[in-house]
Amino acid sequence: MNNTAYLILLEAFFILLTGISFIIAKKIYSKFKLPLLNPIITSVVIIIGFLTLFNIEYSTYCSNTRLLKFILDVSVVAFGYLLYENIEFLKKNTTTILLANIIGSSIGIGSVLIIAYLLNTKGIITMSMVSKSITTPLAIEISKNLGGITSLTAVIVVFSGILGAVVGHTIFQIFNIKSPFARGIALGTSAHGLGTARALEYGALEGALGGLSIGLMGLFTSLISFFLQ
Amino acid sequence: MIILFTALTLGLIKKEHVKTVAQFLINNLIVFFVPALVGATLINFTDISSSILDIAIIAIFSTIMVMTSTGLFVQWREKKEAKKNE
Repeated sequence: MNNTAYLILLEAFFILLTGISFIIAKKIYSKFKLPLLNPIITSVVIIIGFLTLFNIEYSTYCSNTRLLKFILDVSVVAFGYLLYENIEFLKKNTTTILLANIIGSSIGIGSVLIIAYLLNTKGIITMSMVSKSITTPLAIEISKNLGGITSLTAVIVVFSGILGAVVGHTIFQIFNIKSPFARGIALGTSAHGLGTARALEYGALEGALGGLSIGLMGLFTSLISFFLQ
Repeated sequence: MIILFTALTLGLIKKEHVKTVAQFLINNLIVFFVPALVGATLINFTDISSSILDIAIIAIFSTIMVMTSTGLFVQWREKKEAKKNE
């Protein structure tokens, strides 16, 4: 068998493995509905278990699932469809949405800088964390420009996303945040795609607002972090 | 995202053309994060081990602060708007 065919098969195998793990994880989640059983956590546990069991290097898995990473990078496009479906609502509330995202990105960056200052955190770590509330590809770009560690940024972005998705509902109950508008924006601004996936469980409007917030947070965070250089 | 939105608004693309794909992508968005997370285990943790606690504290507090502030802000604006319209 020639090399190309082998590589395509390998990639297909790992993507299939990811897909099957995700389907199982989703089934488990819909059965128990516990926030900690978020499908992404279960999927990763299944995959790491599989790789360890068959003695496969994690790097082999990662370099053969680039297609999934690519789709993640472009998937934000799909939210253009959700925006279109909710255009009337968005037109009526443009100012609030824009202001909320400016507040979100300012607090996102500001809180990292302040807490890091209080804890006396290393500069390179702080710079890797400034962009943690936005979508991975943009966050990595910002981290690179600020001299952060990009692989660390990638992890923190996903970690923050899972965290936001997991604690979201509890936070909403504590602070009595009930409206779909507020919930969608809160999840999208704090936990990008993973928060938006959670927002979609509340409803399509929440999902559209989350998706829009991913884009706006990316924009405003890029602009503000430009002044940090 | 903006291009697709504009094209739909202007009627250059029909909603039916993208609905299935867009909805599939959106419904299954988190599966695409899986490789990134598995890749996370590849980081050289010895480099950052002294800062692990800092990283966790910053990520947790900052994420909750962003979520709470934007959520409360939107809800406050909504209530204000509702009062104005009364």
